[in-house]
Amino acid sequence: MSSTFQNFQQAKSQPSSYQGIALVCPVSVGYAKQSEKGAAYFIGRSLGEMIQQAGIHKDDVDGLAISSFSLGPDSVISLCQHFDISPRFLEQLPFGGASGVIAMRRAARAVQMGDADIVACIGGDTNQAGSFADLIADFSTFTRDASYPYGAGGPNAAFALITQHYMEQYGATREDFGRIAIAQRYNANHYPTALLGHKTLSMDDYLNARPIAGPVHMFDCVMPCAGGEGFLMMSVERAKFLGLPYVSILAADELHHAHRDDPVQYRAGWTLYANKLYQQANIGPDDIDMLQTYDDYPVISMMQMEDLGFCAKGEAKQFVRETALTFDGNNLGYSSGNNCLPHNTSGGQLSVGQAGSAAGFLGLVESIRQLLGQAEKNQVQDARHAMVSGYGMINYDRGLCSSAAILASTTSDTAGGQ
Amino acid sequence: MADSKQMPVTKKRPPAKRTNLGAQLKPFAEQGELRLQQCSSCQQFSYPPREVCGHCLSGDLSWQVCPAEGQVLARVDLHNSFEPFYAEQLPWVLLSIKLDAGPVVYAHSASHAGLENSGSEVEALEIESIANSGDRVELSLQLDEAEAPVFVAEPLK
Repeated sequence: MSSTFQNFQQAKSQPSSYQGIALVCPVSVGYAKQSEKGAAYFIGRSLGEMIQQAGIHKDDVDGLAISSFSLGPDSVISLCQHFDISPRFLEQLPFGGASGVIAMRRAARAVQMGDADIVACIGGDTNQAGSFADLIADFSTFTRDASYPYGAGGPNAAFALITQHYMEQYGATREDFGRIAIAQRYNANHYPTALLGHKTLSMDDYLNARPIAGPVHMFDCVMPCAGGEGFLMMSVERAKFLGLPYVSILAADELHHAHRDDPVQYRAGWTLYANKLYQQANIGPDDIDMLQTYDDYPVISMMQMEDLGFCAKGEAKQFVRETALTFDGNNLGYSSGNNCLPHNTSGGQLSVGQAGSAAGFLGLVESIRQLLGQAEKNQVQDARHAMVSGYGMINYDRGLCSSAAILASTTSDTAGGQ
Repeated sequence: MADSKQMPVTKKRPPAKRTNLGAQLKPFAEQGELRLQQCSSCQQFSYPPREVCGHCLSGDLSWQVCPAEGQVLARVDLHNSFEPFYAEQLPWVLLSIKLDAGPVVYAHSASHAGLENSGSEVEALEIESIANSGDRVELSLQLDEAEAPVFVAEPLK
């Protein structure tokens, strides 16, 4: 490699500003433990609810950015005929838990560049009897050859190995993971859509739960379900014209299969762009009013707390011991001190349910709702900035995708980005 | 598991589905040879099975004998499985191993691979004697009950 090229690489370009982009009309639709309906129902009803909220016609939506595991054999183009629409911008994002922020990034550029005026960003999946088992049995070529034949535990097995390694490396305990799960359940108790929101969760419940794989027990695992999550993206001018309150993107980035020489995953791509996110947003971790992590397992939320700069690597155990993670700052008796960082304010996947790819939109849609002041009983007071991160796609022994964004309410002083 | 005491246990087989590339390990498993894909350009071993070299993207990969020693990265006991074969024999031990040759592999534990004595109850003592994180192990390639190729790890003395 020539030194000229190396210099050029070191000057790797940065994502330009997301100024002028408005996120509007967050919806969470149709949550059910199982459903006979197909994925197109959850995607189509999300679109239907969004245009109703926006007061626009479906033909005003000229872009679709869709994520779904269970849409096959259909794809986003099939949905055009199903919904009878004629978009000029299509994206399908098979990135699981990272797909929400990635859809947002793609759609924002399309709107900025004039490839679309209004993009519907939607994650939607159904959950039929046996469909989760089918999904994990054939998730990727690597899982088919190299992980599924070794106990057929699906993601639980891979994450059990990651969790075991993390606990041995950093001294995190099951109680620490429990602090995350219990705070999220409290949040879900205040969010009616959450499928487990009608049940409370105590530390005893958490610790005495059925073992699943190694240190992973029942309340460390998400419940697969059906549902849809979505929002509309358009220019600020258009949002103002339509009289729609909106949320701004201060910074967003993604990086995939980073740290690929780590034998076991204990960090992901966030470490390589978190600082740049804060620089572009012109704020720091202390200015973040809520954190929405991708919580397929609590250990992954801990990695995000560390890699996104809320604490040092390996220190998330201490962070959750000292920080109230509930939407209203209630420490539930599980944390000391006065620190508070509302985390997964709707209950996260652990308590809402994991609606396939919609789970990759859960934290993003919840953040938009919170920053618009449209959350109900779980509203975070005076929320101005949200950090949302995504993670996903266990192709073999680790999650490959990482994405993250800092969003701002438009009443905040930094609204609109740099 | 209470049901299994009342009903005759059906002899299930482990999941045998492999990709075309993954199935190519079968004859080596029959011969008891540990082989992984090696690149003729950069000499690196790759795993899981793939179409091009994961280091230099050469398409010239062939199955070559691979050094069998490695270190356990993590060990967990599975208490839940979506496959009846494993579900009948829980807890099932799963090891992830960093081979000295480079790749990370998932493997069964030799004392608990369900290969010679499958269907038998697993003794708690047996579980305890299995390799743990940090332990050195030797990997072998064997056929499981479905005659599919699997890796099995045994602690080095």
